[in-house]
Amino acid sequence: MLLCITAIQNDNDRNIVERLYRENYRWMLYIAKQILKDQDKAEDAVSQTFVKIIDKLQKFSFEDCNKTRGLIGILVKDICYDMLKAEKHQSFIPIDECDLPDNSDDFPFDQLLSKENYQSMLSALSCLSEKSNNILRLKYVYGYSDSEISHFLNISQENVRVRLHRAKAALLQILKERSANNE
Amino acid sequence: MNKSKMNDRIFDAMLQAAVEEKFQKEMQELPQSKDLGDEYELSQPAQLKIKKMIQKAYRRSALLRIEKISKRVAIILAIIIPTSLGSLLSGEASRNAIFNTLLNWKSDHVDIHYQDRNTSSNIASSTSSSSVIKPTYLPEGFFEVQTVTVGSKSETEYRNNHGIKIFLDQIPLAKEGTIAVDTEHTTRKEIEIQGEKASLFVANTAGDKSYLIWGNHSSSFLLSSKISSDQLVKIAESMKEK
Repeated sequence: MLLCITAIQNDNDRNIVERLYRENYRWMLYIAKQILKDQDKAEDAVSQTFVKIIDKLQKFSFEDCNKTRGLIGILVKDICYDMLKAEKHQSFIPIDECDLPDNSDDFPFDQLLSKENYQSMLSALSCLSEKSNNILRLKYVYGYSDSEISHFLNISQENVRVRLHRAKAALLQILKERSANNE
Repeated sequence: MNKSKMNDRIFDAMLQAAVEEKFQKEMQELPQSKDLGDEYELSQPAQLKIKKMIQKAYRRSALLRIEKISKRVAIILAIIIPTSLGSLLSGEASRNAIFNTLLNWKSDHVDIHYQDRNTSSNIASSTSSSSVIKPTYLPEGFFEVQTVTVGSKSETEYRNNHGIKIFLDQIPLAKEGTIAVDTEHTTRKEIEIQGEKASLFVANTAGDKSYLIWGNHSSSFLLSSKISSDQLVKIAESMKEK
């Protein structure tokens, strides 16, 4: 009986993976090609993404298909940027990859709650690296804990905390600069 | 709440709203798979690679689950089988051996590894001098082909002119050993051999092997063959020291 239940569960799992594959491989390739600019490498990234999807299948069971697509997108991008990094194509260091001082003390938080600052923050997110954006999405859109993020991206929890801190510090820096320019 | 904490909360709340808005916008801007042209079709090798990966992962996942369940079954059997098989072998030495048994229950067979850790020196000496026990009855047409001894285990092969074989394994109780029994296509029965309890694994079809496991004061025995299980019982009953 136990074995029968197991077989059913496995069939379900396989159906989920096959459905995810059928429904998503084209736009996964679209994202990968946009980043890697190469069909073969993009296909490799899509394959690698499927390895991760299979490995973390329980994470891909959202009722909202946009959330499923979003999570797959995060994985594809993460893998693509890892591939780029491995090839040393990345010649610049994004602001959130630098060690930034914790300068929140002198930030005018009392002025933060404004429509202008919210728009500034929204556009500042575009200045962050895709890796930082991925961490922020996993944290704030998917509500994952540091431990879940570290497991999902195969990085250490310490790395997750560092990336989150750097992303926030970089955003503050950008907001501060924009605030100073406006003055 | 102090000012610093309040600032953090305000910043976090704004950041969450901004990240969510940006994410939703990006998702809306992403094209749907159906709207993407053939240039976003995976090549045949890549499609094949991914499909193979899915198959492989499915098999691996199935194996892992079976292994998990098998471990649970092994724990249950470790309690049940020593109790049922413990009475197979007579005497204290036999019981010691059985209670030190490590059962490795797999999806299609049981490996019974045993080691008599509590064996006292006198038991060891008595078993080390255990004599070879052989059957006085063989089904018509069968003859002994050879006896191979590997370590403490000896295996005798019998055969008839049709190429049907019977194997008899004999293992001293005080030694380590492994008996592998294919339980996938058999039905287990409790019987008696020379007054001692034995386990008979009767083949479900004519093409499968039947197994008979039993013991005496010094050795455990395993008979296996595709001949009828009744014949295996007859052979076992006829075993005598030579």
